[in-house]
Amino acid sequence: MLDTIGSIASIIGLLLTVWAVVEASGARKAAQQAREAVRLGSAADEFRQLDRLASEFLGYVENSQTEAAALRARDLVTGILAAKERWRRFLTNERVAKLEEASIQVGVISRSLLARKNRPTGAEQMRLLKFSHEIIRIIAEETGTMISESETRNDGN
Amino acid sequence: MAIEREYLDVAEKLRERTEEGKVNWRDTFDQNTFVTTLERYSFEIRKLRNAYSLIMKDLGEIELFELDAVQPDPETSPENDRVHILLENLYSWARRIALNVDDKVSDIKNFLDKL
Repeated sequence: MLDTIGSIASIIGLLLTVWAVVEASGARKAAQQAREAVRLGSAADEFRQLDRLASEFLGYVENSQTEAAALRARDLVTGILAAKERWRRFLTNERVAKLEEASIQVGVISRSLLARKNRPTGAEQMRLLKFSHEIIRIIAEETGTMISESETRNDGN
Repeated sequence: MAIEREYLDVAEKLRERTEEGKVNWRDTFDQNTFVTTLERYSFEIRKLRNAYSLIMKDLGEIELFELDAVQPDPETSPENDRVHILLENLYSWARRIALNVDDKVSDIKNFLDKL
């Protein structure tokens, strides 16, 4: 009789332990998900800032403010590289490749404009706009994706 | 200063792979600069007023090496002249690929044939 009671108590103890482990791992998982959601929110904020920087750069290009555009382009290179490295885990390889392309292209623009003594000619200005728009498009797209993913994650929590 | 043999090897292999059509060079704002990304590195080939330059960077935009060669003349070293031929050739291929010159030429040839 005592053996039976002991066995039942052991089984109940085991079940309670399993339940506690499951609860704890669920809580850990929830905490981990919450941390990830906060990080994704920070990533979205950083990409929003990058997008603002890119818009400023485009504004300078459109207004033919070459020197300001060159300096903003340099800031943009630094910003893209920092965001890409910091938030790599939220980016697919394809998205990383797009950001790398944008940073290379904007790097060439920055260097070319800084090395230039005269204002770009009409044809050069058109070319500058073409490449700048492509860079802005990439950054806007990445920013949009990051914000959307952050919002989706927050809605899920 | 002697050019590092390894940099030349990289440039030579890059030219070979480019000629084989295995390297995707791209156009940039600067009409004399073409870029490509391979693995974790990028390359920039540039035509300057009387020189060519090849720069290898990591994807953090850190420059790893630069090869330059000026237009050969009686004063330039044989080493410079060899590098110039290599970079001129690489530039020409990079430009051809980035601007899709072959397809465009073929396109206009077909058009002229039918005209």
